[in-house]
Amino acid sequence: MIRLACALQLIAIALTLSMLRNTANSTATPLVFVGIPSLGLGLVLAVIVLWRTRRRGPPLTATLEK
Amino acid sequence: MASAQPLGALFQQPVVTASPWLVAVFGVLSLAAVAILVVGLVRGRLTPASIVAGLIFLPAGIFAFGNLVLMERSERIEFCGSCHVMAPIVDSVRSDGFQGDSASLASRHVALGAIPVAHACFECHSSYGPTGGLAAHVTGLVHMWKYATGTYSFPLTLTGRYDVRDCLGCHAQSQPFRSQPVHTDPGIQKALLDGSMTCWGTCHPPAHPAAAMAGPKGTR
Repeated sequence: MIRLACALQLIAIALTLSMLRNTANSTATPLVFVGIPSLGLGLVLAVIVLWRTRRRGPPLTATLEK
Repeated sequence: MASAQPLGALFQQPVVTASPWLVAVFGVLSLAAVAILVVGLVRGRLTPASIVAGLIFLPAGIFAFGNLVLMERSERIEFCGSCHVMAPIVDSVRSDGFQGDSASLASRHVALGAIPVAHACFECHSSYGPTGGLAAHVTGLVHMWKYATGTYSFPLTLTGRYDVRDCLGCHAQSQPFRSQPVHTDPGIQKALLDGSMTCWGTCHPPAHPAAAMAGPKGTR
């Protein structure tokens, strides 16, 4: 799941940078219609990953070191 | 085309560039986000702090900044002209001037300096008030969607009616407009305000030439 979230956020960032480099209909359309869903889904997945990581607690090695 | 004539630096449109510091900060943040995301993509795991920074705050911030820039740049005539459908209209606005049969209402406004050429489309197609500019951006999104999905047809037509109050924002206080007897006629004023009559067609030339509205194949 984290790989999917990273890929989606990379797509959103790549489309943003592409639009900033050359602002035109050909770069703005993918940013709006692909970038927004990609960023939105990536954020939802990131929150789920974060919530699951916190719920699972620290790794066993870290607990033993304490 | 009058604008192609080299008249000197005084006649060039001022070029506004972003602050180098802003570009540098944005570049560093983008690189940091990409680095975290690539590590997450390769390794399949990230620390909670990296998830918060690299998957939530940095992408959201970069995207929000990008969209603010897009909102500003999409008000420029070059952006409208980057769509093949709109290119003939933009060409006409820029080059038809204010005299002759091809001169439309839009090209006359630009040629006379009544509206800035850099934001000509947005000036006339956005209403006044807090939601006027936002509504124009939403209309632009609809145009982008129609262009991407091919759900448009020629000749292009105005959806709904053009609100004459958008014209009056500038013209109502202008002396040449006020001194025209036809503009002070109560019947004409009522017809213009209730939308049963438009400025163009009856007294003034169309906003854009019919050839430009017919699409790229319809132009000269």
